[in-house]
Amino acid sequence: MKATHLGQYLGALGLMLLLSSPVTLFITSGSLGAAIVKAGLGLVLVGVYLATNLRSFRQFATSQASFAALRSTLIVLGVLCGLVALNYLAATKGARWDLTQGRIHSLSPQTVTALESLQEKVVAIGFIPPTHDANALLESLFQRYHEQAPERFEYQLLDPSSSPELAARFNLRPGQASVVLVRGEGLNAPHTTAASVSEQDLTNALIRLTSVGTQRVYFITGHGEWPLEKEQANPTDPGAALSELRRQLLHEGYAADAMYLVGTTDIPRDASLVIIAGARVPYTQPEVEVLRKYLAGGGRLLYFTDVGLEDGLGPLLAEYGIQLDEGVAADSQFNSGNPYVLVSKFYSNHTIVQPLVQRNLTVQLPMVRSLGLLREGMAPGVRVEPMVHTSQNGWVETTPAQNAVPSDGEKAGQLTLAAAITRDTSDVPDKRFGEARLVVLGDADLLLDSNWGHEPNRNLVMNALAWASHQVARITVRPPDREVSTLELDMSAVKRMRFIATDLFPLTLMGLGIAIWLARRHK
Amino acid sequence: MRTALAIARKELSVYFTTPWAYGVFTAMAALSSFLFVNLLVEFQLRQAEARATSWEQMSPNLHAYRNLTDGVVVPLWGIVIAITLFVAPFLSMRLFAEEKRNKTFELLMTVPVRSIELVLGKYLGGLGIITATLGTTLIFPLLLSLHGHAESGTALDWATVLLGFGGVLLWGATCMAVGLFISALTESQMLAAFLTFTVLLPWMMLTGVAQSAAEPLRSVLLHLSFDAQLHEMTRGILEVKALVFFASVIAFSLLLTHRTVEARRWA
Repeated sequence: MKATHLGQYLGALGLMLLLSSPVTLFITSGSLGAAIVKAGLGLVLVGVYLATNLRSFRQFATSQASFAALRSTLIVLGVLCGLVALNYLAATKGARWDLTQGRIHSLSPQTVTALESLQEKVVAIGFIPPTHDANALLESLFQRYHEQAPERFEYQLLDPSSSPELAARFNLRPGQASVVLVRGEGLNAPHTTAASVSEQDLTNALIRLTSVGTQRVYFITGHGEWPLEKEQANPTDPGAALSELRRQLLHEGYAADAMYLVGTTDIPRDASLVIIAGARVPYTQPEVEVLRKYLAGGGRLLYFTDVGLEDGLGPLLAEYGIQLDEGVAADSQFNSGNPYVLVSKFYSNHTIVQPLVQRNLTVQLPMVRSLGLLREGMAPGVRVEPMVHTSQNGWVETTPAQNAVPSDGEKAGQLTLAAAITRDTSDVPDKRFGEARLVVLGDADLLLDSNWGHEPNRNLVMNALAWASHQVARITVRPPDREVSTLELDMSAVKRMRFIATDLFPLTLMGLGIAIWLARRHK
Repeated sequence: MRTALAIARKELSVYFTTPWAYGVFTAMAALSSFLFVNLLVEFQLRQAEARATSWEQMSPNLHAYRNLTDGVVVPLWGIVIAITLFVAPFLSMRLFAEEKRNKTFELLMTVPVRSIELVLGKYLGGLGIITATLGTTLIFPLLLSLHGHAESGTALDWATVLLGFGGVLLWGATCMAVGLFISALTESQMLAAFLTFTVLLPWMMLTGVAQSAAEPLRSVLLHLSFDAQLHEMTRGILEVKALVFFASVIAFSLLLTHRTVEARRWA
């Protein structure tokens, strides 16, 4: 074999060794020594190539082509440097636009509020194997949180198998993808885990981690109210429970428990909030007295009722300026095809509904009961503010089974569907809070598991909860979900689609090709 | 530019009058159709599961199946991107290699056409054919919009769908630019196709390498990865860095092609 040929082979090998040495250093072995040896050997072999092919180089160097090659190399290198600089700028300063409907890949106002209210640094640790499906999703989520609060939110992604001591510290199961949020520094720094790799769960964990104490919410039961547990729901209607609401409460740092009023004289002192959801059996007088005392002492109550329900709480509500209308609220224009299923975008300026106004979200209330706002006979210090209305085309239908048009004697005009009431209790001795808060909504069905997926309704309820319990940072709009879109295909439609997509479509293209080919042959 | 457009027109007419291009169209359509139907079946299964329980009960990893756009179209674009990796080298391989094999390249060098016009003309021709090939996949979102339903009336989020398709086109344009350069290096069409594929495939798989690398190399590799750059675009997020990256790869490939063609004049 000629020396020049041997030199060429060795030169190619040397070039490969030289170029692959960064791979050795950064990716495969990580050993600096191995990378230096590879690069050194590569340089020697390239040197051998240059030495054995010196004559060709001399010829090349003196030819006109060599100047052209040199010029090309310089141009290419110059452009490459320019492009690298441009890419660096774009990667560090480049803008980003979320073009999805509902901007589902942008941080929600709830997350922004939670990040802005962070008092100290939070470190999020994603324990997730590099090959896990959710790895990229989690990193992009962390990145957006960090961009929103670079000083207060930091993150790292760790492979659980390579950090067993940390995984053990946070009691993580092997192989499990988890997110741990740590507040502050040190081994005893408080931490919590996110339920899953999603913005809602990560933000909920953030709120939980930074909450001071736990807010305890009591659901009053014993009068046919909707049950808290799925197992307690009517077997014929498994979605008629409040388990999703309870789950969300737990995620946002509230504790939720059921409570009987019978036999009690007072609401527990640790109650941040009491909820009555769809009571259908009248409260006894002693029970009403317990609630009256609770509100008069600065308690907070969320009251949800439905069309046709009679629970004996009318006189108590009247003291707080509310009278429930008998009949179904209807709207001839703003409905979802049925005048009794109201679609409302008519909000007041109340804090609870402002985030809905800002995001242009419309609540949807089926079979809702409207509220009359009283002007007299109220307890001292009561202030009533309506929150959600129908349009001007609303009316109270007293005979919904017979006709769906306004009749004589029926209340008509813009109806109130939800209201927020406050009462100054600062002078009350042994008070719970200096202000009692009550939210009244004429629809309890929107709390049920089967309806909990409707994003604007969910935000209305959770914001009412946050306002009533003085959790101002939680009055916001939670991360949106994609709208549910379905594909209803029966077997024949599936077959038709399969035929079009996999048979007709490719064969048409092939037939077209053959026809053109034959036409050309016969020309 | 007029000369470049004339060359592009000639390239396109050659493509559209040979059965080869239709073979590629058919392969693209058959493969993507088969996988599209599989995605549909999977989507229907997940929706049936959700109807039996509720979306809140299902794992967040399955929430993409709430919606036709995320459940079918986004993964479909991922599949089309993967198929393009195999198809594009066969479309780009003949651009210069065929001229060289037929000995018409030297002839081209003697006519009063500037190298830049030649390169741009060839590239625009290739761009036309890859656009036509990828354009056939738009039939799938159209089929979905005919059969799908949503509360708001539109089953698909068209902004996301079209941005995703834009990402697919950008990827196709990049493949053609890289393929054009490699085609200019050799007179063997098969070798050009093979080399294009062997350059694009590892480049596409850089994300996997990046995940096991340490910073700052990790960020650099992720930026260089086609896969990572396309990921956000197919999900409906438009990023300046992705546009700049693809434009850079295309521009650099065209520059290399131009310098290669120029080198033939001096050889």
